[in-house]
Amino acid sequence: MSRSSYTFPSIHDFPPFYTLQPTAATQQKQIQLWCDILLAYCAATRTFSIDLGEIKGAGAKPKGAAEVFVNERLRRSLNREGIQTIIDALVNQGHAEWESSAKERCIVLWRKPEEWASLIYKWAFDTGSTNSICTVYELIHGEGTEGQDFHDLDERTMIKALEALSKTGKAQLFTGASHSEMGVKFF
Amino acid sequence: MLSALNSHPLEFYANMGNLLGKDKSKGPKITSKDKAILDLKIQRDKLRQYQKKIQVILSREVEVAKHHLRSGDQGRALLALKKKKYQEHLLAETDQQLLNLEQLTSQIEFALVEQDVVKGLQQGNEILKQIHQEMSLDAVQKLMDDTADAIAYQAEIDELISGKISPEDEEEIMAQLDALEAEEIAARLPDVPAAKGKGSEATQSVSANKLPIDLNDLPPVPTKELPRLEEPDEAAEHAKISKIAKARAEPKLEEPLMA
Repeated sequence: MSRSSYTFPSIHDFPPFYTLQPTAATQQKQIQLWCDILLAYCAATRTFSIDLGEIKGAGAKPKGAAEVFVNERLRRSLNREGIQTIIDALVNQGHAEWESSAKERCIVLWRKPEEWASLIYKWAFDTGSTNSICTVYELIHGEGTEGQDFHDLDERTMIKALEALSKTGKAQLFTGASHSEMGVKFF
Repeated sequence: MLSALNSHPLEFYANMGNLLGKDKSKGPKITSKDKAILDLKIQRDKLRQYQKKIQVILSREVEVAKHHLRSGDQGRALLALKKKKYQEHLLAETDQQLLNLEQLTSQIEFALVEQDVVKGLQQGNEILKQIHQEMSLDAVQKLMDDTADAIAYQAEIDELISGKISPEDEEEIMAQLDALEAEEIAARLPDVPAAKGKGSEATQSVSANKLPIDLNDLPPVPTKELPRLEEPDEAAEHAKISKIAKARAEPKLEEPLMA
């Protein structure tokens, strides 16, 4: 996972950007900008989840995707409330999901499960894996999916994508007779 | 479905429930065979994970050995290398197991494909049988007989119709045909000498022989004009009426060639 490939847009160096704007219209615009930055960042760095616990306060560089909300140069960071508002907005758009009601950690879906689903199905079709069985582990870490966009995908996101596929009848998720690990059969 | 209707109503509803239930869970798509294959593949994944772990241990043991060698502790370095050897042995063993697993999985998958093929063949065979049942030999025989009858009947009709034209009528028809042919030939005659002027002589003389007018004209021609070249000969044969005809014949020659 390369973390260097994303360059923040200029708005990221704009101090007022780190305070939720009081005017409703401006705030809406601001939140949308944050959403775009977060999604673009996660897509560029292939980040699938954000841990808000990593944000310790202004100046301290957090690990993981939470670094999006911190600008070391400006010594500014978006506060917890602001971050939650942004992720709530993402959740509404279907691009994120809170892991629990505590809103500590969230999954970022910079590609919606349906989009992942069609990528995965295309792979399955192209490799002749339709009508045969793959383990979820194989899809994520297997040699066969190396070079695919969904290789090394977050497991929860993968499961969501496969669930989306099974809704359309193109796949079926199931567990083995004696193991709890999931597998999938493509149709 | 009909058999279900005929059976006991309670049984029918139970069957309905089964069908609906299956639809909801999408269960029928996953069979126990699929589950077995999945189990094998999960086992394979676990072996792969185990191999990864062993590989990590391997490289770590090498590092440990190097570290101990650097610090002069040969005994520990040796131990680390022994551990490494053991892990390598394990790795080879898991490789073998992995191979076995993969072989078994592909065998099962292939057997399933074969099963499908056999099923397909069976279905095809049944349908073929069904079709054959629908067209029994007797029916085909009867059909062929009927067809033969129909053909015979048609032949009879033909005979009846052609029978209506009596031999006399036929004679008359033939006579009319001959007359028409003669007429046609007569109509062509005046043109023939000029038209076929440049054609082969043999055909010309043959056709000329048939014509009474030409025959009358012919006798004087050959002996007198023999020494002459072909062109005057022809002209003499075909138009002896006047010498102007010669002049006329030449331009006319082109016409049939053009046509």
